[in-house]
Amino acid sequence: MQSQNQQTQTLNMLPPTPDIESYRDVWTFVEIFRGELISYSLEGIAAARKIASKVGMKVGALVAGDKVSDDIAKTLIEHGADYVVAVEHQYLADYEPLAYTEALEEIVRLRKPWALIFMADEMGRDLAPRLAYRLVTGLATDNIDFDVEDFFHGLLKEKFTNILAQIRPDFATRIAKIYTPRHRPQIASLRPGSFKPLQRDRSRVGDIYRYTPSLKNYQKKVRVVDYEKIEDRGAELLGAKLIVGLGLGILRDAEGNAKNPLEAVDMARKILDLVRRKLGVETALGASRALIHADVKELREIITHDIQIGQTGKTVSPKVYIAAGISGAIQHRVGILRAGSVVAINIDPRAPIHEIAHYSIIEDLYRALPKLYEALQKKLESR
Amino acid sequence: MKGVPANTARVVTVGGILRREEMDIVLNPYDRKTIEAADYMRRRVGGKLVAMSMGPHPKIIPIMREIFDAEVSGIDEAYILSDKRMAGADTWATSYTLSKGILKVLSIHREAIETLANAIESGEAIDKVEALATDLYRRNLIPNKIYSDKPSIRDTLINMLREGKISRSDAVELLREEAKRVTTNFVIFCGMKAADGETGNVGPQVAEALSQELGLTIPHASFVVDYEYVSERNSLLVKRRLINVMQILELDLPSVLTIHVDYSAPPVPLTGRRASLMNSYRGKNTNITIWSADDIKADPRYIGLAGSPTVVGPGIDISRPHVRKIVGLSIIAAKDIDKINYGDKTYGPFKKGDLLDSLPEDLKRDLVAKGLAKTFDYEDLAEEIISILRG
Ligand SMILES: Cc1cc2nc3c(=O)[nH]c(=O)nc-3n(C[C@H](O)[C@H](O)[C@H](O)COP(=O)(O)OP(=O)(O)OC[C@H]3O[C@@H](n4cnc5c(N)ncnc54)[C@H](O)[C@@H]3O)c2cc1C
Repeated sequence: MQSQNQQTQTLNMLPPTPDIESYRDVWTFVEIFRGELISYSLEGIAAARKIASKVGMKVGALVAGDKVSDDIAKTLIEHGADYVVAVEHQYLADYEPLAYTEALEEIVRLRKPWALIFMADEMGRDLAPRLAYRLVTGLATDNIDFDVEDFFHGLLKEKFTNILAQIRPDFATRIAKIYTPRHRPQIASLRPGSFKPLQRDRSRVGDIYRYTPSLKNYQKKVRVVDYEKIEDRGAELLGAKLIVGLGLGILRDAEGNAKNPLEAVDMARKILDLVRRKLGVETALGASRALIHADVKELREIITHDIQIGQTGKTVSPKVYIAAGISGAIQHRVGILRAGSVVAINIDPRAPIHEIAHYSIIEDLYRALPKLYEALQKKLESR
Repeated sequence: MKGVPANTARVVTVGGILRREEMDIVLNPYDRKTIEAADYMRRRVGGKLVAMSMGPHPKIIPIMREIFDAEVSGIDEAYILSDKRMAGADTWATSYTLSKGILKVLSIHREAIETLANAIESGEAIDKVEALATDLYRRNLIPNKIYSDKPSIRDTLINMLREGKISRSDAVELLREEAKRVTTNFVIFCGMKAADGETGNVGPQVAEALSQELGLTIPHASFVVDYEYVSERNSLLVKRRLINVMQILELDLPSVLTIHVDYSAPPVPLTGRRASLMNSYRGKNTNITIWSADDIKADPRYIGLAGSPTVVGPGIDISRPHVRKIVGLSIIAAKDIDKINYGDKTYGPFKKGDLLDSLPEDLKRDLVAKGLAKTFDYEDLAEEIISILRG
């Protein structure tokens, strides 16, 4: 029962989604782009599984295209979806926000998912906001994790049980939880790299629902003309097992004397090359935003935006992350949350990077990197 | 345009809601590129560059003042939507509010032209009509092609009417068409995101909100790195980042673009300068307009905290409890160690490499002396890194 006070309060607010109890299941929007399944979309299925298992719902994989192949649908089920919703129309052959918004709006209104997860890449960021506005519901962007919780709404003095907690980096030093208590579906975007795709299980089976949207309100105001290639030097960061991240600390030694930062880059590369050669694993160089913004002449071609790690850069998941001369600001740390082990090289014992490190080297990086290289070399050659 | 805390890394949050009025506010750095992109459009086709922002006006006014002369030629006019009731808005409520503000800007311009058309239609004397046009022109509401006091521009609609080159009914018809074009011939440029919230939602959501307000479909494109105006079709050819490629799109006007940091404006072509001038307005109007929620006829249920479907919960700490080995300081087991009885306590067993830092100092010293424990060094670290990478 709502109190009198609560009712007046509710009347002064954005009206809630009608029929809110009828929304069920956790969907994730799986991106098919130019005929290919975008692989990190499988992380969205893993996230949806985590949520669904906590509320006893099913996982639906939502796919759009002119025709969604059985092969792709089967792949999604084998990676954890309980069923696939394939929205098919000739206007969905190429991604374009108007047709996609229209098509997804139709299927959401029809099937009423309780939550809907997008990937926080350019497609998700282009599409999800428009769809959320159209559906009059909330959108929490850039999440790194999800949970299901009870939430007490301070303004309404009302408790909402078992709703989605959308976990994302906060403005300041922490992580914030965003809730969408009164609207459905609860729409969120997930940062690629935050979840591990589930192991493929070829014995899994599930239904495929095919739906042809009417697109009756659709107006063709956007035409896809062409595509052009771009080179992303940072792509290798995403698959790397060992990453050395360089920060502003490489500009000076422990005594504060200016150093040629190329020396640090060379030492980092020597370590990466050695490990790649000897262990056959992928390795990559990364950087903090501060180092990139410092715009050091010698580093211009090497330390570029596409190798930035962190909130506004890439989320990486190496087995080992070596942070050299990085203080460990929250915006940097959210990019390495999924690193297996963190090795911090920083002269300042109070630098926040040491708090999350599994291994700390409290020493000048210009001394530490060569020593680490020698130790690695000795161990790797002796085998 | 958005005002963001000067040091976005050091933000005061009260229960998760940004208290902007308590902080030093600067222009969102991503909006610089937005001004550059919008400025290119204005120089290319004429019209005027209008800046709009939502936020407490005492903090936003200085930012607006600064961007009248920013980037290439700066903004021409500024509007601030400022109202206590707008505070605490998420991107849904923000986009709704902005679309209401944009709608009002468009309406003012449309109505100005309609007033002029009505005056001519009702048979008002030409001097009266011209006086009205002068007033509207001074207020920056009608373009040079309708009325102008610039000596180089003679062929304005009002001049042609005065000289009998067009009839009253033709003038009325031309003006009515012009009035209609106000709500279709515009482009909205947004930053690709803001440095504080970092959502990037507002561009696409404004496109949707304004589509609903105007009852037409306004397309949007995010992360635009380059664009060009196509005069034959009154459209934009846009290049934007999408997953692993650049997508080239053609968007009909009106449209919304969010501008990527990689954008940089090309030189403006020499052709079409005259047309651009005719479409332009008197100049800059540096009197900043401030509108409340009532001024823009915003539904109070859709703005601020009340109009936000999302609610920000309390922040949580992300540091995880773990063991940490410090090179040159930590003591680790040098080999596997069985249970140790020490004093009245039992420790272990330990495996080679286990961290022993929490053991009593005397015991550690003892173990080190016996060769069972050692200081964690570079070689131990190298060994562990290798085994993690192998595992
Ligand atoms: C909205 C927003 C988004 C952001 N996004 C990101 C992001 O995606 N990624 C990111 O990295 N940052 C991001 N930042 C910036 C972030 O807040 C920090 O400013 C940045 O990460 C700091 O970089 P740094 O650690 O290299 O530099 P600093 O903080 O200056 O740290 C340098 C460290 O090096 C150490 N040092 C100095 N000399 C030596 C030496 N010779 N040997 C060893 N150690 C040494 C110092 O003790 C210090 O701890 C963002 C900020 C904001 C506001």
